[in-house]
Amino acid sequence: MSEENTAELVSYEIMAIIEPDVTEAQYKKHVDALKALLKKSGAEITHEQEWGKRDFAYPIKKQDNGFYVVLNFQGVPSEIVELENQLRITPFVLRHLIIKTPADYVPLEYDWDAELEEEVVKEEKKPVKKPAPVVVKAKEEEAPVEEKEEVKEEPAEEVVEEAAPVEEEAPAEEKEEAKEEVKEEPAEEVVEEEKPAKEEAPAKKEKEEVITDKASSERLSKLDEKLEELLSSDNDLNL
Amino acid sequence: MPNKNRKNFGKLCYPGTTWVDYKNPVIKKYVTIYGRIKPRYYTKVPMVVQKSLSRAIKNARIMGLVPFTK
Repeated sequence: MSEENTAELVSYEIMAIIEPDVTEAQYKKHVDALKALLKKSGAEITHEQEWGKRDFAYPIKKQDNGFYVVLNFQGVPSEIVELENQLRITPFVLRHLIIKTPADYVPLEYDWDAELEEEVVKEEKKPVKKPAPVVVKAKEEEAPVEEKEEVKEEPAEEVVEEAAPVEEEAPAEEKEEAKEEVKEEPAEEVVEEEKPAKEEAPAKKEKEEVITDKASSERLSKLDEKLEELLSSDNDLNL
Repeated sequence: MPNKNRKNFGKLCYPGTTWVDYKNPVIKKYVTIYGRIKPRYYTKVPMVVQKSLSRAIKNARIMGLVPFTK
């Protein structure tokens, strides 16, 4: 059983981090000592990669940078346990990692400092949820205004002909103003919270000019607050 | 219907296989702001690739290439 294992060779890869405060001559000695360790266990080195000095993502043994070395070799599986024990003892190796690679694996060269393209994660489009509150406002505007017109008609019964075109013009104006408000509110969404306060201020002024009743103005102010909450509280997952 | 999603991960995997290398800097895109691995329903990664991806991120964390937390 053990004889069969020692005869076959398996492809491995080792990555080691070497101490940073070291001159070039000493650095070469350390790398040669590493390779000698591998040859003792019957390994054949196929590919080398030296990344040089790199910063760590977190401090390792109270150091902030170190030399990275990657070696690909064909080794005997029964003697790798001793290899790891020897690597733990060596003073100039801070961390090591041995991995089994797929057959015929040639390591590619990677750039860790280059900027990555932002095409990996798909962004979901947010659905528009605006038409419901707009319709309610248009109806409320038309209701109190119609009440005013009815009140005005009663004292001015003599001027019936002028009241008729006035009625037609007034609701037409209201519908135009409602349409303008509809256009402004989807435009607010497109701007994405950049200028919602400025656009809501002129819209509020138009409403105040049309209506002067306290009850209807209170209703509208509450709806405005709800709208602002909906616009500002679009919190995505922090992913 | 063939799985169209498998073609979109050419940069992640080693060409010709579904194995992810821990030395690949594309791994940084599958980690959140706080250092956690992103879930599969968010990145739409196939199951076979996600298993080797998570193993690669954990190996990269051990070797100091990717942080554990921020």
